[in-house]
Amino acid sequence: METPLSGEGLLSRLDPRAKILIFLILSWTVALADNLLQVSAFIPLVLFFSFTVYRKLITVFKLLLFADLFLLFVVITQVLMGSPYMGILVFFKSTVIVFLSLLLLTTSSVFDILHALHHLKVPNKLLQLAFFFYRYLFTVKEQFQLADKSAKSRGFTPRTDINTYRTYAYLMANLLVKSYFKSERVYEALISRGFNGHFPVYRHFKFKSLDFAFMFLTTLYWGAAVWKFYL
Amino acid sequence: MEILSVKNLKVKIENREILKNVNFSIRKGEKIFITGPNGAGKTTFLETVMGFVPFSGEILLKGSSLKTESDFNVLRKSVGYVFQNPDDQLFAPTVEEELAFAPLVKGLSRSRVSEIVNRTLRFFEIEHLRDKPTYKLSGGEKRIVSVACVVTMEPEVILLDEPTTGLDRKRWNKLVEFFEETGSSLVIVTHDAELMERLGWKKFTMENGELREI
Amino acid sequence: MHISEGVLPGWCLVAGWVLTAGGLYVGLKSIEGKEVPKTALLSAAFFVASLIHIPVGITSVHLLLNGLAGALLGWAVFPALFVALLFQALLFQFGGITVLGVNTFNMAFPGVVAYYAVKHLLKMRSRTSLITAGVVAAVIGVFLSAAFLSLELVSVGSSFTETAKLAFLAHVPVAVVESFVNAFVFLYFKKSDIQLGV
Repeated sequence: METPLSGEGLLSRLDPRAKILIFLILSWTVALADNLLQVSAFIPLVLFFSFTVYRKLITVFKLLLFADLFLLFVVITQVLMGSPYMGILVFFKSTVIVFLSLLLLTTSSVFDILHALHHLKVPNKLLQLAFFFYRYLFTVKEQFQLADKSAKSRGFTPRTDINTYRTYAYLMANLLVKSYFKSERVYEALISRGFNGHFPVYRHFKFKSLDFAFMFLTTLYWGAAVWKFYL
Repeated sequence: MEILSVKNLKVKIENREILKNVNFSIRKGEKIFITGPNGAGKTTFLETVMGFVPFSGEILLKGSSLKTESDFNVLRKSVGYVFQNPDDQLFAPTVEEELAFAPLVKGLSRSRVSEIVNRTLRFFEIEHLRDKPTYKLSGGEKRIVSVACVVTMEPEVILLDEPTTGLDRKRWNKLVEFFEETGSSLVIVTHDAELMERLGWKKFTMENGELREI
Repeated sequence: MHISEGVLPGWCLVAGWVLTAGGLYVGLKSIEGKEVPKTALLSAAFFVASLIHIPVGITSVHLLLNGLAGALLGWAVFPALFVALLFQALLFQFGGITVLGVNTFNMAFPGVVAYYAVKHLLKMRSRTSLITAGVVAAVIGVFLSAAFLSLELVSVGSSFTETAKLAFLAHVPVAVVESFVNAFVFLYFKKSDIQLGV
């Protein structure tokens, strides 16, 4: 499991700190829009960014289409039972923000994002949690799949009955117990290697002229859009 | 009668051929060994037969070819599988519940289930472990329980992946006694030379994804 | 259900972040040393468990498991679910960053309420009290989350009344299934003689 556009296109070469800051500014501005005109001010920028990942556009559309059932639910209920204008507005706002997140955040690897958040003063303990979570997510998932396989190989087929719910509860409880023990081994391994609550960072980010250009131009675009459509 | 057979079975994982054209079949009550070097595809073979790995070729249960997940759900009611690593296999809170899982899933009555569980606990001489949480078992105990919890399923065929690893002499003898007595067909993947010599069944070897009789 | 980007008004998003920041502050202070990897791995386990499709009639549901997570983690449920939701947004584009505050609060606050509600029941360790604890954790976790979600949707505007009602109703089968599952999970912990609390 990795961010979907990790290492893809020009945007992936930018400093993740710059991308995170710009993402926050742009996504909050779109989130605060209350009409379609304001949202549409950011569509050209999103389209421009999209060109940099043209080889992965199909992946992007798949993520947009299938990721968000809640959005689908809101749009459909609004069109049928509420205000169709709201449905369309919500659809565009959401799509633009998700596009921005895909293009600006997920073009960096997970570890680079966590590292950048460290520089952006996110509390260390929270980042440690995120680090351990991501580091062992795949192991935990595999552990579940093995136990699931074990249940299936003994004739278990999911149905709507109490046996099924008990089986799933057992699989979940077993997963929690195993993760708990795993965490104790992880901690022992860390302590025995002199871990003191801080992860050493070996690689350092360097702000390049490309990053300055990116920040300057997008901020300029943002300023112009806000001045023209929001004020 | 052939219970289980595979024809021209091929498995490719990430463009690597793990199984190349495997043909194999087992009759009711027949017992065989599969041996061979590490990484030759033995575990993948068992997993494929259980329907956990995409394959090409045919897997047949009593003559009918299995394709979909629900076909394999039928197979998994009569073919049992003992994992290579008991830690991955055991998930119930206690030994008793681990053994009761398969017969309960079958829909047997409570009294019938406890009859089967008691009989199995007694046979494997693990009655004292009945209420013990599975994570507190020793390595050898886990191994025996991982076999016992498949035995209570009363399957027609049992596939076992290195079932004697880490067993002491007493439990090793117990397991051999089970292998000799059971009416189920057995497919045992193993490196245990003593076991193969003692039982003297037909042997197959898996090398580079190819299975042949020796 | 996690609210998507672009649905809620600005004040609601900001309020969500402020409340979640408070919860994160208390939650992070409550864990130290080996509880950090423990919280992280339990959070990963809850993340994986909540992706399971559980059959209900002809359809299937995902469980929230926030009541159960709260019962085990206490206030640490805030950082645990925050991290899980952050990764859902980054890896699958479920939820999102501006709504991360609201979504975390919707899930984690009911988890904390469930924690205080079942604390004593879990200590009694009798079969009945554990089953009751399971049901209480599920009902509080699921319905309180559903109530927050629906209220937030109503806050968007009057056109969202029907959307909010349907969103609430969709949680009813989840609460039922989750009651069974939680009860069995607590019984499992008792039988396997283990205390997972952080």
